[in-house]
Amino acid sequence: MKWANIKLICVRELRDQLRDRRTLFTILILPLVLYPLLGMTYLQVAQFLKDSPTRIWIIGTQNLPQEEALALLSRDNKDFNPSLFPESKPTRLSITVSKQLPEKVTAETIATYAQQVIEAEEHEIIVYFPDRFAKQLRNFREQITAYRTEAISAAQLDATVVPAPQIYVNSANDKSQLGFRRTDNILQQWRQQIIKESFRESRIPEQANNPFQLEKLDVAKPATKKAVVWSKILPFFALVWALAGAFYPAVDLCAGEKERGTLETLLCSPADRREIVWGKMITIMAFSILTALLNLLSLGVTGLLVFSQLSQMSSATVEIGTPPLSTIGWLLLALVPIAALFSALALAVAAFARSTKEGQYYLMPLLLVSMPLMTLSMLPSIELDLGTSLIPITGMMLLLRALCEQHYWAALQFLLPVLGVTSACCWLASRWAIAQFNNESVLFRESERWDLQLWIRHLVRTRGNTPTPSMAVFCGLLLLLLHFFANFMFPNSLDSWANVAFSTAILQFVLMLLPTVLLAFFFTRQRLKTFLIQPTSTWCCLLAILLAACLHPLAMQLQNLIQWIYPINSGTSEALLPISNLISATPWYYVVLVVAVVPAICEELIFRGFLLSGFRRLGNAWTAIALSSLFFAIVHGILQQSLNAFAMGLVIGYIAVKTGSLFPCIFYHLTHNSITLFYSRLDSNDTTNWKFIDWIFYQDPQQQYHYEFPVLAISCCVAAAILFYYKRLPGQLSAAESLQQKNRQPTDHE
Amino acid sequence: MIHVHQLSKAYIDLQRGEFLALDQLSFEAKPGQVYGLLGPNGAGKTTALRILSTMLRPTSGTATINGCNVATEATRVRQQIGFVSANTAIYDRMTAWEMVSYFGKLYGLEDDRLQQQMQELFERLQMNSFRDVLGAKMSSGMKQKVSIARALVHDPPVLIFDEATVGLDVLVARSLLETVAELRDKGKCIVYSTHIMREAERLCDQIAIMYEGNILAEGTVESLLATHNEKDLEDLFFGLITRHQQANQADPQIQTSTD
Repeated sequence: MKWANIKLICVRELRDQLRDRRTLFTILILPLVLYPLLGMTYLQVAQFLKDSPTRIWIIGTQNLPQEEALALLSRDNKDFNPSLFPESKPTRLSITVSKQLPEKVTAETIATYAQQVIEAEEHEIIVYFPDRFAKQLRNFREQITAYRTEAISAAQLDATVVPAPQIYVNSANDKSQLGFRRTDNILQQWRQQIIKESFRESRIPEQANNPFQLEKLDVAKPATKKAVVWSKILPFFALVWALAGAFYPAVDLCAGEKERGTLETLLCSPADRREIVWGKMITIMAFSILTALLNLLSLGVTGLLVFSQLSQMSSATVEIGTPPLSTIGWLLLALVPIAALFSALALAVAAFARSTKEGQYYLMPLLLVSMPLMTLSMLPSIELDLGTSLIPITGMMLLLRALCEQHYWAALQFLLPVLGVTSACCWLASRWAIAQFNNESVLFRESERWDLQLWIRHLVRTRGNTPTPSMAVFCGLLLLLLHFFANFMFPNSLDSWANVAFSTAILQFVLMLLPTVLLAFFFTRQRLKTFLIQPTSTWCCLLAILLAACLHPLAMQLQNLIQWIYPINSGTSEALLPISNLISATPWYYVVLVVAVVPAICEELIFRGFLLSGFRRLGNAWTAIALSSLFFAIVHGILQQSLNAFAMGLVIGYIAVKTGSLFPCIFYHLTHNSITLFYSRLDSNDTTNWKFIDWIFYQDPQQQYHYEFPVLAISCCVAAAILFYYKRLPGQLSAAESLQQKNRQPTDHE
Repeated sequence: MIHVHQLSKAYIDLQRGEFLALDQLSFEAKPGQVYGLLGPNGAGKTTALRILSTMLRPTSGTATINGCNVATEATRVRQQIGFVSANTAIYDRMTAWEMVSYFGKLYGLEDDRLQQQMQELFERLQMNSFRDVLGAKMSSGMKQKVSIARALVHDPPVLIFDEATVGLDVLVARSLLETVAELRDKGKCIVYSTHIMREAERLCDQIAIMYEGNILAEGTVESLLATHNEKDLEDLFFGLITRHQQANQADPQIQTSTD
């Protein structure tokens, strides 16, 4: 790889992008215009909220108390009583007063009438004082006095009717909502006045209403307070724009070049594919960082102006100022690896697209994957720990937040895992991008016309011996969808073991196996080959059983590790408890049948049968194993189970590829599930007299069983030996794999 | 200069399964000679030339250019060829001068030599009038000249032209053919693919007639006409293809295979 070529390509691409009006608009003009426009809109809304008048119609004023001290309205009945607002009188209120209900409206029909009036926008708020309001209020106050003089009991006081005026509001209308807040403030103020008056009458000092004064003392430093606000807003915007800023140039530099025919010109130059990828990637990264920076700058400046304007508009102080320098510094530092990751991802995705239009369609899936990872870090309950630091993007966001909030110790503790995961992702993404540029079928893909009817007919007519990779993906997604809906089909499945057995049978046979068999029936020619129902030696099957037993201690260690990194939350544990109880209370053969035999047969037919056969037509056995394991993992639902299932899927997939038969896979799966069941029932009555358990397991202080270390070590060695045996089996390459192997000869020895 | 021996290329097509685009293709081209690949669309000409220019890897067989294997010494091969095709466009947002200079630098030319080479090329191809015009503003003729200059900037011994006259008007196409003839006279080894009979007749010293990934016949125009007893190249071309199709119908060999 020559750096001179990378530099040359990078400089050319940078100059090319800077000459493109579309790129300049997205990267320079849009951020400079977008935020001021948003800020203006926000100020307009704030101004509207401040200026918008509220028309309040007060009905039934004849029912209000007549005492001057309790007056809600002014003497001329045209406004609220000014004594309710000793400091500042509320503005923008327009009051209409009616002594009683309008004609033909009764206390029963007032609700319908109020709805019509507010919907017709004649008034925003209607306050209705029912007929007996003043009387009930007086009665209530008298009862309090009576209670104080011990004339009535506490029970009688509780039974006193409390008057209930009604306030009608349209919560679907902003003006009405605003009016409600204003009216509610006034009515609360009035209620306080009535309480004060009641206290005065009962000769209780006013201070009794306020037995203690809560004093709020904020220990946060002003700079930290500012940093908290900015530490949440800025990283999110920076990352979103880093992604968008990477994506658009990436689409232009790959799909755009393919479309314009210049990619082939570059490919036939002496520049190596890696040099081309790195040159383009550095360009994309530069634009990603530039876009994020310009957006942050524009957002910061606009934000400051808007907040200062808001402070002037309202008396409340807005506790936000310029972001601390340290926040900006950390953000700039974090932008580099994040931009590198997004650039490599965007480049690989964009390289796949045939045209700019197609490339732009891929932005949404990339956003859909990245956005939850970005927003996850904004949840208050998510903190930087070992588990979260290992999640790509989220870990970096949380690290950034910790640094901005000056929690340096927490940041330092998890710096290595975050940087490690981010670097690993960057490396994988760049490898993927280079692989895309080395992939002839990606570089020279041609466009196809698509018609559903023709396509299905074509699929059936030209079906191969085994399913296509697209069919395997379709099957996997269909199963995930059916699995999701199955959760709602059996809400009471955990009531009894019979229900568990029934729902498992329906799920495995009807919702998972049946659709897969139908797909195989319609879209493949050799169903036995598709499901890998091929003869194999008894020896291979026996070794699979032994391998499952030997890998079980390692699988349990892995499970413990996963649960240590990502602890199962209490909600999930509670949800899993009934099934554990049912398993303990059911005869073992019945449990083995439902939890081990049925899934071993059905899931193996689906994942190592149909899906693996389909993915093997991609031409790479390990890619096929990983993809089939991925679907196998996702079907397991809970994250902790999925990670474990993925690892197990890799092992069983390898056995399937090497033995060319599903039977060892079924035996492996069956053995693994059975041992896991046995493991979960170790403390039950069945096993108390089994002496060998003490040789294999030990109990920790929480009474949990674990494999003894020598058992773990010996079993791992045996497992390695068995895997080595499988490795030496010739295996059967699919036609696609043989062809890929021939085409994958090295291109350059220089 | 160019040796192609039993070159095959199969693709995995998700709909057609394995598809053979080139079936054991063999030919040789020498310096000072234009070797023509004549065939209809889909004959495998572009695939063969993409393998020679190292953009595609062969599934089997070998091809060497000036002694360098296209599969294992890709960078060396690319240093020794200039590739012009209907699919190798020029950059819209670069001027003619910038474009040729960029590729010259990628070929590792020293600044002085690059300047000298570019001035000669711009003079010879009469490109000075539009040297500062952006690609997007150029006519098809100008673009084609820039492409040729880009392919010649490092003075390669081998030139590959793949359907280079597609989309060009008669004048520009004729000028291109004249340029190719000049290059041949200067001793360059040229592979020229086309589906236009007159171009092949006029320009090529050796012709291979390609169909469905195979060479049906090879030789000089005169020897081919004499061997197959045809009056002109077009009759020869149709005759060969018709006979090939009839032979295939008599012995249907399905070339697609699926897993």
